[in-house]
Amino acid sequence: MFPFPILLAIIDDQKQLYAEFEKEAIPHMDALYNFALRMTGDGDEADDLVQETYLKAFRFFDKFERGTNCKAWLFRIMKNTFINSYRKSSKEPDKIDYEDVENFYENIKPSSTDTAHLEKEMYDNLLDDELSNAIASLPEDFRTVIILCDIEGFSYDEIADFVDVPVGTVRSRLHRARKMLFAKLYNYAADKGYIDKTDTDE
Amino acid sequence: MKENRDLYYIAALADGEIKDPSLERKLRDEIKDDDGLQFEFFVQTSIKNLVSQRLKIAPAPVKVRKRLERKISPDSDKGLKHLYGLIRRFFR
Repeated sequence: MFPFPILLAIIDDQKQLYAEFEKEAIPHMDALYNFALRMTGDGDEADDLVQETYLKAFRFFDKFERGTNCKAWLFRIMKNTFINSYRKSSKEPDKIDYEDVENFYENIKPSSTDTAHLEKEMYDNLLDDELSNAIASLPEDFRTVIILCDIEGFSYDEIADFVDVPVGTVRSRLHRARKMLFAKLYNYAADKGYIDKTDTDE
Repeated sequence: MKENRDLYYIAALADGEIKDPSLERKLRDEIKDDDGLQFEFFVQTSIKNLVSQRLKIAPAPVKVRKRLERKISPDSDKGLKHLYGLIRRFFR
């Protein structure tokens, strides 16, 4: 006699697994897609990266511990997939030229800087695409921590685990990344005439 | 000027990541009394707020979702093939 009960049990198991996957993992697809887009810089590659990530996640979903952070788990899978398949090969690690940023901050006079005015002049005129481009131009290590912290809301511990560096390194990268981004946006606003550089220069 | 390592804690303060309340108090007091640190804090918080509020999350394209569903959903053809494969392996 054909063991229909067993067949049904197997089919039910798979359906249940898929239903759980749909409930736990699929809601994070937008976040993953946006991260993929920012890392690859290419829509088609981002599509493929998300696809591959979810296929791997589904394959190993029975190993995922329910109740733990599914989003972080998916991001880790994506990170490894990105490193293995999408990161441009034979590229030297980013040599971060921080000298320009340091020079910028040496010229800022904090005591004479009206930060409220500066924030309004700089940010109000900034288009979303321009901000996006500024972030895309950051070195990869800096870009990653900004996205994970400021956009995705991961904690330092989660970011450290994801990037596989100590928490102190996450802290320093975030600090420097934001300073670099600020300097870029400031210079951009000054070039466009939104702010007067003499407001802050000597 | 404080060493860079101390300055990095200003980022942590902006992120609510200072776990030691006394360190947090100490930092806030130092920022209050120092223009340079105030500016550092301004940079950290303003950039954080700008990025989190202004960068829109674009929805994943529908085709990505549909392609995935076709591959893994038990109700899709490919999903059923996968299921039958499992059943065949079980009875081998």
